[in-house]
Amino acid sequence: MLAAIIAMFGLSRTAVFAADAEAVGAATCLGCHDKHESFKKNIHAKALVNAKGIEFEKSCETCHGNGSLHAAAGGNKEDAGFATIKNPGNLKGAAASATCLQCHEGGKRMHWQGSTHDMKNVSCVDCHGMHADKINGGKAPLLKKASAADSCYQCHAEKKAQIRKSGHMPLVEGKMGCTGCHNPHGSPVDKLLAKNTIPETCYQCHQDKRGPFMWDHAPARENCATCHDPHGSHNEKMLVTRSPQLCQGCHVGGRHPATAYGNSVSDLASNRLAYKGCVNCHFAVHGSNNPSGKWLNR
Amino acid sequence: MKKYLSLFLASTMSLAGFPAWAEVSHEIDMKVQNRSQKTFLGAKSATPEEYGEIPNGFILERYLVEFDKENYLFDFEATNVGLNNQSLRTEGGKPGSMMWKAGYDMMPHLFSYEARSPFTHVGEGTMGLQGAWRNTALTSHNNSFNAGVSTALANAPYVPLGFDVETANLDLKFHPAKDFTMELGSMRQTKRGTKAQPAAFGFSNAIELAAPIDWVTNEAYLDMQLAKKEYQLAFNYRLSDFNNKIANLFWDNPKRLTDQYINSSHYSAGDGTSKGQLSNAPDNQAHALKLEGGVALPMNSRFSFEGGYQRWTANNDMMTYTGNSQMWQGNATAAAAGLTFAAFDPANRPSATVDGRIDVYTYLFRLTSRPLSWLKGTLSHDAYIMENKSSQYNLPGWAVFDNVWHSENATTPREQFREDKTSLKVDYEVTSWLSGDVGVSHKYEKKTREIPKGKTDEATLGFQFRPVKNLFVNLSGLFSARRGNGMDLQHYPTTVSAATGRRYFTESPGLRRIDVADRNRTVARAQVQWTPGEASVGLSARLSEDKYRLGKGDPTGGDVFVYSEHMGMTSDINRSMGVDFAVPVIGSIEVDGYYTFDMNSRYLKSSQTACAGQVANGTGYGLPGEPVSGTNTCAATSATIMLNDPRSRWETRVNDRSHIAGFSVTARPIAKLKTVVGYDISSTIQNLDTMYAGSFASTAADPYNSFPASRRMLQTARARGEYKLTENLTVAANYQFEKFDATDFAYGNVPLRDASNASIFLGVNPIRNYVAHTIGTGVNYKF
Repeated sequence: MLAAIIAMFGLSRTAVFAADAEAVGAATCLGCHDKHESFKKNIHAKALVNAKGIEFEKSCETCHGNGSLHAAAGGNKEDAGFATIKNPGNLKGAAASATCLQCHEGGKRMHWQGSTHDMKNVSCVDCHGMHADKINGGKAPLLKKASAADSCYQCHAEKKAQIRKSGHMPLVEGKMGCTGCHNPHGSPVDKLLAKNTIPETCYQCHQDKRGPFMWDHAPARENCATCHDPHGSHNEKMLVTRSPQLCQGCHVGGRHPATAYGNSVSDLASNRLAYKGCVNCHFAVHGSNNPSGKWLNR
Repeated sequence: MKKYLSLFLASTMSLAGFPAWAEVSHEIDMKVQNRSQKTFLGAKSATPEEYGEIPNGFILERYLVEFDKENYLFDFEATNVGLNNQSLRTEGGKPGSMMWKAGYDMMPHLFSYEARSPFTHVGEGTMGLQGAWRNTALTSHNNSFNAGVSTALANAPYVPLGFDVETANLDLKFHPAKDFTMELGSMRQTKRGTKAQPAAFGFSNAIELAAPIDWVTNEAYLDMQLAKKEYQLAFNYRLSDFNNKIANLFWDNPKRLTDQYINSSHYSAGDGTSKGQLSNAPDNQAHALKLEGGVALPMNSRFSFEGGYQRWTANNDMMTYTGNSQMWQGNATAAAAGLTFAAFDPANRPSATVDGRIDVYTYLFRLTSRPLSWLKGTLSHDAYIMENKSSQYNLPGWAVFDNVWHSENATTPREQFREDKTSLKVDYEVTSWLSGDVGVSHKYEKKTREIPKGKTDEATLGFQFRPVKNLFVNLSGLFSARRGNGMDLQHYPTTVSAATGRRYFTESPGLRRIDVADRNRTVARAQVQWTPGEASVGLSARLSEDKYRLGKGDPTGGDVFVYSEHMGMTSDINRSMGVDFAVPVIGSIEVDGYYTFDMNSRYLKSSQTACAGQVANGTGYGLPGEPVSGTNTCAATSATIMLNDPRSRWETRVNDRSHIAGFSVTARPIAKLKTVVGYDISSTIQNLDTMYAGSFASTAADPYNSFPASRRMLQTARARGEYKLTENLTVAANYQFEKFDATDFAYGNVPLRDASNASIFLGVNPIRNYVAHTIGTGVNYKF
């Protein structure tokens, strides 16, 4: 009767069968899935024992569900029992992630649910391969791709290109990764930033810009991205555009800030255009602690 | 060798309480390479080595050793051994019980090989002029650089320009009780070397120093977490302590050996003070506390929260206003400028220390629910509150470039802001192949800015199609409107005409800065991922447009001479599209590649500020009572004004266009051989186009033209072959060609000394062209 009702509503048969399945143990699983023999060396296999008291023999079914019906199908995909095994790789976002969140709900995943990635049906298995040998050379935790950045580029292809521009952070050189600034597992703030704001994110490496300063430059205090594009730029210092146009976006008053600097009005080698432009004089653009620093030039 | 190494490591680990190791594996990558780099115009380009050394000769690229036994693991990895970008990393322990990580990493940030400067760091942050430079200045007391100076400058020594970043870290993770985790760790980072430090002495006198950097940051953290299936609770504390060992910078003035204050022209001539001084980044500390958690609720729901508090402080000694000994009330010129005390006397500083303090409060509440398999939603509210509690100082003026005194009562600002955001997002599955999401949010902002309050309303809409298993289409859009409130013209900066007493706006009140202005934002994104068989193809396109507009209020204040429209940045448009693919062509050959084009256009509208009296220049209308002066020259008694006059107005557009592409072909003709050939190109062009230039900026005799376009193009072609001699040994050979072409008026015309004899730069072009050939051969050995 129950099965008839379930069938009537078009629900999966697997739920019924999966509930009926019993544990068979890892040895049975490895009988067919011998390519996962190395899972014994996987950090998951070790942690299950140490943290949860789950022996290796039970490790497969901890995530995939009891496998007796699947095993009994003997590889016959037409057999209804074959599909009773849970394969997160074939599940939709939230259902796939639920398997991992059994143990990983805390930590950096504290705000996973409701995050941008969760709401867009991205799941753990889109980036992570749980069966990878050991800890992937330490470069990244069980990632399918060679690096965290390569994982992100799967969807954020434009960033892969942008980071190759002339002014860039050392992502291409492998000295930092996307996760230095973003928490792909969920964050309370926009853009999945690992810190509360863009400036706080930048202060992780640029502590010298943190101040507090006697003379603050308001946009530097509020949002570094007003002037810098952290993903790469045509301009030096990853500026969104060059000086003086960058500065003139806000400063159009009081004589020289509003001067229409062009090819003829001033020599291109002028100290207001060449090299750092406005910053040749107003160099304390991130703030000054000098009593004579109101114009950010000391 | 293998035996002894394994024994040594196994013994070490055994002493550390680990069991005897059952499996030990090693992997080593090493190569010999020769790099030939040709740089045009002489100096070696630093561009390719900005973040890491590219040496000739032997390179130990990687050594990895891994131990594995039941529930334990340990590994150690070293990369680029002995080079300035080397790193060492080790990790191990008993997963789920106790793990540790430690690392040491080096990274250079090289700016140039060609910097030259007559200044030498003589200690304590003092940059002294040396040798012929000092003697030349000594004999001439120059108001401008003379030929002797120029000759001496031509012989200025090369100086290093770049710094090294060294980072060491240790992290420990414990599970002292079931479901309880504790992590603690520390990090120490040093940055030492030099950076290009502008150090101007006047309005038209740029000086640039290879200034020393000696920064140390120590950080520590403690995280504790109780993670049950039903709820999680975590607490963490972080400390960051930044120490700048060079608190202040002092440097000799090449135009003066003795201080003077004769007239106001020192402001532009840069010849008043014998030394300059500036405050470097202050020592500072940041403490951060955070409590966060989550709890499972009925109906597949979850509530999570976070609350945080931070305190950032800095308490450095305050510098004097200047080191110029003539800047005091006893000097007639200084006194006439309004100076009533000795600006160089430490006793007359506003305070002995700069007491900076910022407190940050944050909180988040988020409720997520998935009551039905096809419906999920999340409601959240978060706030960021930055309160600036720094001491405020009242100043009667300041020393401009250490050369002249500027009298103006000023109070140091306390920049602070608050943002509160509430958002609701819903995702629903229409059918098995179609789902959609909608979201709305409201953000309230409060800032110490010219527009002190604002709100942003945002709506998002998205669809995801999955008509067949191997095709995914994602379409999304965002619309947002930011509206300022409370623009108060009464507090807008003004100046008062000495001639008439008339009050003028010193900048157009129609200027709404881009981070607070009214803004309409539109973003559209399309993404396609198609994976037919072994191939994969991805397409993406993105368009975003920010349009800024005038907000509430009449910016003219009833003054017909003031622009009534929005000035400054008016719009910012980004368009990008790209494709990436990986396709098996025939048999053992696979081709993969990517191409992205993006274009950014920023529109800027401004106006030459003019003297109020200038408009009565015989050809136009004027302001009653203001003295008349020549074009672009302001009489001392005339106020400046953002003049509502088409002759003053100008508009520009900055276009950034980028083409970034690459492809590679991988062939495996036999199982043991893998060959890869590839090509990458990154080309960016920036144009600054004049849309409109008023006659004040452009005349028949002196037409206003756009800047020359700037370009960067890096091309890399590479070939690599790997042959697996045995199960453990692979030999490889590689060749790489690089060509970097850049043109940029801003960097191509930076001589040591500029044509006007007013500036001294470092003679650095940070984007110097180069061509390089690199050939190498190496082995990968696993044992």
